[in-house]
Amino acid sequence: MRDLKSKVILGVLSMVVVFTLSVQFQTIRDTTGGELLSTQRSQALAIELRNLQEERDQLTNELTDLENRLQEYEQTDADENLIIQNLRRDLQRYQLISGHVSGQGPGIIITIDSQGDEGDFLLYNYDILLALANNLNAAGAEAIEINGERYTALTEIYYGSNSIHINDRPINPPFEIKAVGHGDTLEAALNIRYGIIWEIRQFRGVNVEITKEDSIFIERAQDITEFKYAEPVTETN
Amino acid sequence: MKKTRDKIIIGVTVFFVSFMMVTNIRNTELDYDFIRLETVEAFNVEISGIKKEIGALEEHIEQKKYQIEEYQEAVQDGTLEEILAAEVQKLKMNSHLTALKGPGITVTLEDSDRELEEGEDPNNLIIHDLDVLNILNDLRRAGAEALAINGQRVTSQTQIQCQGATITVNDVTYGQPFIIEAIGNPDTLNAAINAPTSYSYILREFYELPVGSKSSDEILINAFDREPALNYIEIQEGD
Repeated sequence: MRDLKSKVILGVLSMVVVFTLSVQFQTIRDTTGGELLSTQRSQALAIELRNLQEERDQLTNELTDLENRLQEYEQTDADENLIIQNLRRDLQRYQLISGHVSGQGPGIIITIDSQGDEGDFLLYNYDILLALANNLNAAGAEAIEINGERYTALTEIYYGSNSIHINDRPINPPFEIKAVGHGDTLEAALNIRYGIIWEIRQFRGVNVEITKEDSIFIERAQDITEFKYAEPVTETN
Repeated sequence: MKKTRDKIIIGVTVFFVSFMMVTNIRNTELDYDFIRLETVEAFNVEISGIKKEIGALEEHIEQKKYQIEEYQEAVQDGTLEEILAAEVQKLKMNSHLTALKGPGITVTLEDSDRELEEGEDPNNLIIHDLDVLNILNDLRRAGAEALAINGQRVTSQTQIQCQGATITVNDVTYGQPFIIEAIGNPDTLNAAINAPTSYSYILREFYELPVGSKSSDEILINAFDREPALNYIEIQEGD
């Protein structure tokens, strides 16, 4: 009797153990949506990212081709009449001013490495970028680019999802700010005592490097503003 | 005899239990180094960023294709001039060299004339560069299509400097009140100045600085009244 009882108990206990374990694993599977936060998942994401990058690069090439073709129509031809020549020249000038064509010139490059023990300082104080752009303009900067984003009159900067967004696109540290203008003036203006750069170096231990260059390439703005509310003022209105 | 038989039974049972456990574990992928949630998040942010880029690229490609078609037709028709003129006009607007009008908002800023609390920093009572810069930024986020401060058009080269009771914009100095105008959707622009998440809200509620705003059906914003500086930069086509 005793023997049978112990065997039954043992049998039942084993089944309970197996059952509990199965339920446990099933629960884990269900709560993590079928996959654990495993290297598999991050591999899948890495693959998706790479595919998207390839697609993006392909599209970029296609866009460049189209732009080259477009240029053939937009470039000045000595035989053409004066009006069209002037129009073409105006076109180029406005493309440059509005930031819709890339440019190059002498200037400076600022590299900010703001990653600290408490996270990235600049991420939570992104308005420092606003102040920097302002200071650069005050020192005569003619074009500014931050991590590939052209700074325009309507450029917005905000923080969301652990990234800084410029022109509504996420960018990540380290931050590289390029400015075209008179290199010496720009450099001096930034290094001024009690200025923004001075402050973040002194009090925040942020690493800032400023280098002068003879030729800096500035990306063009990716978005052309569609004016939905504003319209030009003409003589009649 | 009985004892050996029992041991065998126990042994076999334990074997089966272990077998089931191992099979179960295998089925749920033992290959887990747990990935930090931040890494997955970082991937997702990048992926969504690239998707946006792709979207923008596709739009641009459509635009360029359309333009090329137009030019091709124009060359045949002889209306190249018109097409170029329209393109010039559009880019001139994007260069902020065109006077614009439309619905929008007017924001007024002034230093505070309240009394300082004990031990309070007098800087709390005046408007600073960053205040104006943040308000402009909020307005841009809300879709402003054109901005001006005391009548000065804001361009990509605009700089502002607050010095006590005056503000210098585009090298021109103005007294108070500082008036910021923006053309865009009056409701979203209004939220940019009055919502609890806005920078202006903090100025008003926390520092008690007078920040006023008024929506309007017609705001007039001047063109930038000078030649933008183009002494150092020149066109350089990228790859």
